[in-house]
Amino acid sequence: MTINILYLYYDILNLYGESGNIKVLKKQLELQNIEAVVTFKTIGEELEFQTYDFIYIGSGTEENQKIALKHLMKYQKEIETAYQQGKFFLITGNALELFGKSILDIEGKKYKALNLFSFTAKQESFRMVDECVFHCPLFKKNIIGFQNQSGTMHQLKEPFFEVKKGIGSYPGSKGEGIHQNNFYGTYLIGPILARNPFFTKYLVKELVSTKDPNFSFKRMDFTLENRAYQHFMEQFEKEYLEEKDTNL
Amino acid sequence: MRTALAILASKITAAILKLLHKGSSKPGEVALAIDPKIMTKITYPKLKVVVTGTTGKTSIAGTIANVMEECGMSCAQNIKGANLTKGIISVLVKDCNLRGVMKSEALVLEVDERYVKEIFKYMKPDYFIINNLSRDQLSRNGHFGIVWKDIHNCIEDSMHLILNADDPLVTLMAHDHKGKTTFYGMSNTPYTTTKPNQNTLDLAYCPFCHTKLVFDYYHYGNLGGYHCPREDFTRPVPEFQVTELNLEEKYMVINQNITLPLKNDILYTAYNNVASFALCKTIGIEEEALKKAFDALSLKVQRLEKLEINGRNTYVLTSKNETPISYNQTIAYIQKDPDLKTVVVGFENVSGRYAYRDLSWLWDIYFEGLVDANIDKIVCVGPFASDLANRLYYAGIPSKQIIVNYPIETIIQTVKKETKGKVYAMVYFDLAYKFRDLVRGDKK
Repeated sequence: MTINILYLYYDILNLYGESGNIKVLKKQLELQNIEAVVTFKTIGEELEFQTYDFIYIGSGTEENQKIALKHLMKYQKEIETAYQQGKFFLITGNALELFGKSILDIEGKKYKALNLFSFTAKQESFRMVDECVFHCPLFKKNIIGFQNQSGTMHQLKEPFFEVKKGIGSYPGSKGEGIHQNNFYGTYLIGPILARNPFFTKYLVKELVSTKDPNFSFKRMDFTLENRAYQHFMEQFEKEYLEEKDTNL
Repeated sequence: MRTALAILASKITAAILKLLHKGSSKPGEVALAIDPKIMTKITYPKLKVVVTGTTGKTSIAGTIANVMEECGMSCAQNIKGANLTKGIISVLVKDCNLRGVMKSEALVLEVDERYVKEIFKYMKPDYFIINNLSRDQLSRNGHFGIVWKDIHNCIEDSMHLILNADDPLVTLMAHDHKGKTTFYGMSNTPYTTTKPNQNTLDLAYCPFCHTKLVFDYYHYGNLGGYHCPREDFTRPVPEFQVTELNLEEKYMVINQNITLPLKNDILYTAYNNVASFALCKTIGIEEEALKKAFDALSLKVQRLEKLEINGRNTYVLTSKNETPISYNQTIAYIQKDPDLKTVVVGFENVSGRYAYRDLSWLWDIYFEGLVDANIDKIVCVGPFASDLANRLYYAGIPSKQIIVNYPIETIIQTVKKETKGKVYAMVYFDLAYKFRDLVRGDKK
């Protein structure tokens, strides 16, 4: 079996080590004896989405995001089609802002966006930075990661994650992220797949099972990720409890 | 009155600290607390130089200050990495009398990139050196675009810019500068490559027409020879260019006829030297005097050190966390050694300045470069050893080559028992001194 991955704007939306998500995904697929072909495409190039099973876009500077948006808007219909067909999307960081109704930049200029979802994005003059612990109904364990952005998302219906710690869609929001059909979007950087092996496992299984419902998976080994995850949660729980104690 | 009091209190604080053999930015803190406007009350020397950039600030500022002193100019400087406001004020106050008049002929400051806008509110330098700009400490900086804007917005036409021509983000600073600009850079050397390490260039597209920049060659990171196919943006020809570089024999040549020694065999040292040379020549120091000064150099802040474990050559290469270019420079250095080696990598804290434990920057580091570097083992050490090991695994390092060893205390035993070859410790400041102490302690 071959899984075709489209890594869009790899050289212009390339902040925060996001390429790590693709490294993890590719490796885990190969460990299942699946051929994972990653195609890199960027601005100035023609795009089509039918060849691909999985589409990824990561974080970029606000300026580069607008350049990518201008290019991507030409393919609004194709993206909608791909989404309706059930193709997988993993969209992280401020790339998620591309998929809403509009982006309002720091100077008050409004950019029309892909309108795949009905939220609006707004870029503030300040940065929002925090460690994150989010609860996700799909998993027993919490999702961990980081947020580092100037953007906020509003009117987000049915967020994917519940914010335990972190900023969420905007400071003080209870929810963050999008999961509709096979579209997964979140502001979380990490990279999210590197830090949450259970999410990687889930995504790999969903992706592969869509192509072959009878695929027999080999056991996935996430020893290193699990130890790293454990280390973070131990620290977090200690600090969380300390904070609770001081608040008493 | 308030100013005099601030200066006096600061000098007393400094004297006490000196008696206790402690150094810190406390004197600056004290002065600032008594007189928040102290920086506007100081009479600065006639020659003011500021150096900034993601890497190289300390080395360049230190080299310039040392060269000036060798050439008979008195110089107030803030070497040793005290590059935030408090540290800078400490230096200013140390050099001035109670009326706030500085006695040195020149002021040479290294300033942290995010603090340039703060410092420039009160003191405009005559010469402003920007060595390079790349993603660094993104938890506090957001991204390099923000850092770039902050610096660009406070450049004034009265400032003579001294810029690294090889860094497109730096040369972009001068595109609307009406004052003087002098460029330095490097031509093709035996260490130049035609491919970048990863797709993590900070400026890959022409900032004017958004066409992909063509890189004819790379020295490291985003630095090299670049041009826009539409000719909107091209690497400027530097006035001071490294025309020959020999890291093995530790020398470099500027403009085909000025030979300078290199204090070590690391590529970026050549940039530090040519930047310093460019500044000193531009302010009017004679070439002969400069050559003599460089020959006599010794820098107080060293990042490279050599030790031994069981007779195995051991190198401690301090690398800056959250600064991929710093780790990439270390990896490039390790790659050049063809012998069998073991790498120790790790840190105690992600940052020395704030509590955020973002680790995404690990994935912007080109660990892939260690795959074919004749590695016996890579030992990951510190509380984040698993995160490091995880990154290495996905970089293509075979699992059997990766060792997770959390406690720093047992690192020497692990290296001795389970690894072979030379030892390169690619570690952050907070583990570097511990590692060195352990190696030295083990010898006894």
